[in-house]
Amino acid sequence: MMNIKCPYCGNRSEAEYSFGGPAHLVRPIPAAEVSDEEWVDYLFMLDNVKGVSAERWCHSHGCGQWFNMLRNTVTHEILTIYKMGESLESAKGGENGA
Amino acid sequence: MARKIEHIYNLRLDVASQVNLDKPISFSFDGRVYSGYEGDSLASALIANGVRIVGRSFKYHRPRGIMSAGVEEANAIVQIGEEPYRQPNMLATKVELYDGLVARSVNAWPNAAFDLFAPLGFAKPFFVAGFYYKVFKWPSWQFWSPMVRRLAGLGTVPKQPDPDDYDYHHAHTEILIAGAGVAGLLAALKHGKSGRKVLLVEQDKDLGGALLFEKCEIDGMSALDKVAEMEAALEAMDNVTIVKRATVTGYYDDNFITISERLRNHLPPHVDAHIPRERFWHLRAGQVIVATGAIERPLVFANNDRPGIMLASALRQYANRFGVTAGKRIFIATNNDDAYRTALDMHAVGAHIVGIADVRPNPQGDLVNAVRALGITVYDGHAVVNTSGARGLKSISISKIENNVLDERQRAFNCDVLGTSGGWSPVVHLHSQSGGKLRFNEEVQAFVPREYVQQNVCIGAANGVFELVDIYSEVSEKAARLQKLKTEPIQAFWDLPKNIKKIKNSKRWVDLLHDVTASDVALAARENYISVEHFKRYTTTGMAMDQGKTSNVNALAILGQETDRKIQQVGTTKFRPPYSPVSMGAMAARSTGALFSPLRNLPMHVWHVENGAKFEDYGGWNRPAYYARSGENEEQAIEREIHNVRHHVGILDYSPLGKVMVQGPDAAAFLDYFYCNNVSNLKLNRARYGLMLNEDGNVIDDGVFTRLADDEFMATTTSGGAARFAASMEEWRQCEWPHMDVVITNITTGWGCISLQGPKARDVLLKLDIDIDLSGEEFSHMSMRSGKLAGVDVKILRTSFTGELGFEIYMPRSYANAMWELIVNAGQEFKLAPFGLEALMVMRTEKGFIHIGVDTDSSTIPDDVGFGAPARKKVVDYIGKRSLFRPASLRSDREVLVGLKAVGDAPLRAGSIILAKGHKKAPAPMDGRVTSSYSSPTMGHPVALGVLKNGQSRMGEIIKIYDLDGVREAEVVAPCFYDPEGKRLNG
Ligand SMILES: [Zn+2]
Repeated sequence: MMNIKCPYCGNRSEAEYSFGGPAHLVRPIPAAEVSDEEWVDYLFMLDNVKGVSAERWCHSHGCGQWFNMLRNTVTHEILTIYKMGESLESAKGGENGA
Repeated sequence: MARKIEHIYNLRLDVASQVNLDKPISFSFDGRVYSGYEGDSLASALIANGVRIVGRSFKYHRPRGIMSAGVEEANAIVQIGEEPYRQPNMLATKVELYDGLVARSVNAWPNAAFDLFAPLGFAKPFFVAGFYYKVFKWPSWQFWSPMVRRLAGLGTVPKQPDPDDYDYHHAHTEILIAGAGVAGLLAALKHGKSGRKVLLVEQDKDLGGALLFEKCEIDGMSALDKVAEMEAALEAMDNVTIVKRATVTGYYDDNFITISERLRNHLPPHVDAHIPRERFWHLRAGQVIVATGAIERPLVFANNDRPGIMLASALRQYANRFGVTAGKRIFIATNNDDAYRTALDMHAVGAHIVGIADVRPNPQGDLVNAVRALGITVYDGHAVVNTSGARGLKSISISKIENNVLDERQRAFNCDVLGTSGGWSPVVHLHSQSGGKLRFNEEVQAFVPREYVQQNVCIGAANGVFELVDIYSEVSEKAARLQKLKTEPIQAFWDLPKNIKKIKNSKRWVDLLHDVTASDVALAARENYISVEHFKRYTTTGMAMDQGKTSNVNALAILGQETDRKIQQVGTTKFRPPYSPVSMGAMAARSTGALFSPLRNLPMHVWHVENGAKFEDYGGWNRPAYYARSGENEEQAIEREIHNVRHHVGILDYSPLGKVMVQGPDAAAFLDYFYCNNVSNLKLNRARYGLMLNEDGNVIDDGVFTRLADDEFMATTTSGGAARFAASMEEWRQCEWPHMDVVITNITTGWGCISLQGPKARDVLLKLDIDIDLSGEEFSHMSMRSGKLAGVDVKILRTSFTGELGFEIYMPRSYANAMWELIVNAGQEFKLAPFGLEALMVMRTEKGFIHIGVDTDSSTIPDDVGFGAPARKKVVDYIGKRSLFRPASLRSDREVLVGLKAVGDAPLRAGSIILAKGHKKAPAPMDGRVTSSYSSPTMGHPVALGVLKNGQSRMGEIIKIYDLDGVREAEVVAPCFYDPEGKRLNG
C-alpha cells in the first residue's frame, strides 16, 4: 500500500485515496464542433502507460481534494505530486522530463 | 473400526532440552491419545511417540512423515481443535502442544496411517504435470472435479461460526526487524542503542532462531545463555518492542507490512477467551531489516518422500531443542558441510550414525574431519539413490558418482532415519515481495538479495551469510569470541544423473506438498513450459500452502538442467504474500456478521420496529419492506398498504433519499452540467425531475432538483447514489470547472424526510399547526415551500413517486421522529398508515416511473426512457451531451422503455427475455427484456416495465417472453398504467 503525500494533509496511506484516471485529459467542447473521432479519443482511447504516468488522485477519505501525481506504474514510485490546475512542467520546476 | 496405528516406543532422549519433563501433558492425534511435555511442538511430541505417518500426499496419498522442524514443513499438515474451534492447514512443526490438544491428519480417510485412498498411488499417470490444464480439455472438468476435490482436501473448515475474536492492529515503527535469530538480535541491539523505535518480530515462541538448537559457544557462554542475555538487554530498552508468535507475512509498497500475530493458538480454546485469538497488523516502517534466516533444501533421489527422511538440520533441532530423535539408526546425505553438524550432534546424544554420503570427492572441512575422527564412515563422491520401506524408511542405497555418471553398483544400509541436506536457501521472500531483485550466488548455491528498491536490507542467513562468525562481523558492532572453522565449499547437486534407466524413471519428489516429481519438471520442459512463471503454474510447483519453501530452488535448478540453462537464467517467480498462511478470521477481524457491511438505520427506526416493519437492505439502508399486521402474509400486507395510499393516505420514511445542496453564484450554471434537461430556467420554489448522465451519455441517476433561491438548489438522488453523485460533482468542480463559484454539500444523513402520499395527504397536514398554504392553486405539483410545521422549520416538496397527491417534508434529522409521531397521530381519522418500499415499488411501476439501475442499465440513454427531446434540445453543454450524437445513440432500433401487460393472471418474471419478432421459442435473438414486474392490486392485472427494440412503434403488439417456466405472452402498452392524465397527483 503506497504512502502518498497529499499536498494539503501530508503523508497518508493509499487506502485514504481514490484513483481518478489520467491527468491533463482535455475535454473537447463545444459538443457541436467535436467530431466522433475526437470524442471517442477522449472517452476511450486512454494511454495505459507502463512506466511514468500522470494521474489524478483524490484524498477522498481525507480532505476531499483532487491533485495530480506523476507515478511509475511498474515500480509504484511517486516522482512528484502537484495541485490540480498546476502543469506538469511547473511541478517539475524546469527539470528535464522524468 | 480403529486399527492399531504403530507400535509405540519412546524416542525421548535422555538429554537436557527446552521441554519441561516435570509437566507431562496429553494430546490426541487421529483419535488416539498420546503424551508429551510442556514445551513440545506437536511434531516433536509425535516423533517422541514414534508416530511416523502423519499425513498423506496431496495427489497420490503416499504415506508422509514429518520432514522438517519449521515453517517449511511440507508433510505434517494437520487440523487442530474441534467444532467450532477447528483450524485446518496447521503445521505440526509450528503447533505448540497444550493439554487436551486434538489434532487430525488431513488428506486421508479414515486416518493417516490407514488411508483408503492410498491405492491411488498407482494412479500416477493421471496426475502428471499440467494435470489441471489437461483435464479441462478431456473429458471435462465436471468429470474430474468431484474426484479431485475429494482427494485434494487439506482439512475441513468449521461449519459453525467462529466463536473467537480477531483484531486488526495499525502501527508505525522506525525500524522493523523481521526475525529474531542471531542476526535479528544483533541488529535489534545495535538499533535499540541508537534510541530509535524498534519492533522485533519473531515467528517462534522464543527468540534465538538457530541458536535455540545449535551447539556453539559465544563469548564463553552457551548459545541459549547468550540469547537470554541479549533478550534481557532488549527488554531493558523502552524503545524496543518484541513481538513473539508473530510472522511478517507481507511486504508491500512504501514499507507497508502485514504481521500475523497468534495470541492464543498455543492455549486451549477456552483459556483467556477474552483475548483475541489472532491479531493482524498493518504496519508502516521507516526501515525494514530482513533477518528471516535460511531454509535447508532436501536432496532429490528415488523415493525420497518416505517417513523418516528429513532435513538434516531438523534432526539436531529435535534432539537439541526438544530432546527427541526420529530414529536410532541415522544415515546422512549431503553436498555441504552443515549436515556434519547433525552427525556430530546426533552422535553426541547416542544415536548411531550409519554413514554419510557426500557427493563431494574429497571434503576436508573441520566439521568433516571431526566426524571422521569419531570413526563414522564418510562415503565421499557418493549419493543416496534409492530407499525402501512401505510405511517408513527401512533402508537406503548409495552409489558412486563420477563426472556426473552414476555407478551401476549400489550399497545398501539399514537405517530408520535419513537426514538430507542440499544446501541452504536464504528466506528472501520478503525481499522479493518488496520488489527487490535476486541473483544466484554460485559460491553458496543459493539465491541472494541483489538490488533493493525500498528502505530495507537483508542480513545474516537471509543475505546468504550462514556462518555465525560471519554474521557477527556483518551485523554486530563489536566482535564476539567464536570458533572459526575451515570449511569445504558446497557442491551443486540437484538431481541424480540419468544414465541408469531405473533411476531416470523413478519417482524423485521435488515438491512434497503438491506431489511434483523431477519427471514432472522434465515433462513440463518437454512441453515447452520453460518460462518460470508458466512452469510454476503448469506443474503447480511451489503453489501449495508452503509456497515452495523447500522445493522452488530444486525445481528451478532441475528445469535449468533440462533446458541447458544456468539457474540465474531460469530465474525465480516473484514471491507473493503471505509468507506463511494467515487465517481468514484474522483478515476479517471485526468485520463479520452485522459488521461485515454495516447497515444504516433510519431516523424512525425504533418506531418501524415497534410497528411490525419487516426490514430489508436497500442500498446499505435498513428500510421497512412492509409492515406486517397479524394474520397477514407479505403479499397481503403490501396489497393493503397500496390500497391505503390509493384511497386514503400513506406515510413513508423517505430519509435515505439522496439530498445534495448546491449553493453559490454559479449554482444554476454548474447544475446545468449535471442534468440532461434545463436547470437555469427553473423558477424560484419550483422543482423539476431530471436525469444525470455520465460522459458516455448513459443515465446514471435521477432525482428532483429544486430552486430554493437564485443561487441555491437542492438536488435529490437515489438513496444509494447520494455520496457518489456529490463526489462526482466535487470532482468535476475541482478538476474541470475550478472557476465556478459553488459549494456542494451532501446533506443526506443530516436531514430526515417524511413522505405523505394519498388523496388525504393534504388533510392530514392541515390538522397540524402549519403556516404554508397547501391549496392546489397556491402550492402546485413540483414546487417547494418553506415554513413552519408544528413549530419546526421545514421545507415541503410537493411531488409524487406513487401517482397520488404527495408531500415530502424535509427537516433536520433530529426532529424527524417527533414529527413522524405527530403526523401519524393527526392522520388517524384519515386512516393514515405507514407503507414500505415494496408497496412504493409496485405503485411507481403502476405509474410507469423508472427505477434507476432496475429499468435502466449501463447502456440506457435519455431517449430510451422518454427523455430524448429535452436532452437533444438543451443548448448549453452538459456531461454526456456529445455522446448522445454518436451513431450508436442515434440508431432507430434502440431498446426503449415500454409497459408490458401480461396475458394471463400471473406477473411476468423480471429479467425474462423478449424474443425477437417471429420467434416462438428460445433460443432466439432477443428484442429486449422485462425489467420490473408486479401484481397490481390497483389495476387488477399484472403490470410490468421492460425495454424493447423499436418499442415506441410496437404499441398493441403481442410479444413472446421467455423465462425458466416457458414462453409467456404480453401486450406492448405505454409505460404508465395508472392515471395516465396525472389528475390525481395534480389534484
Ligand atoms: Zn488531504
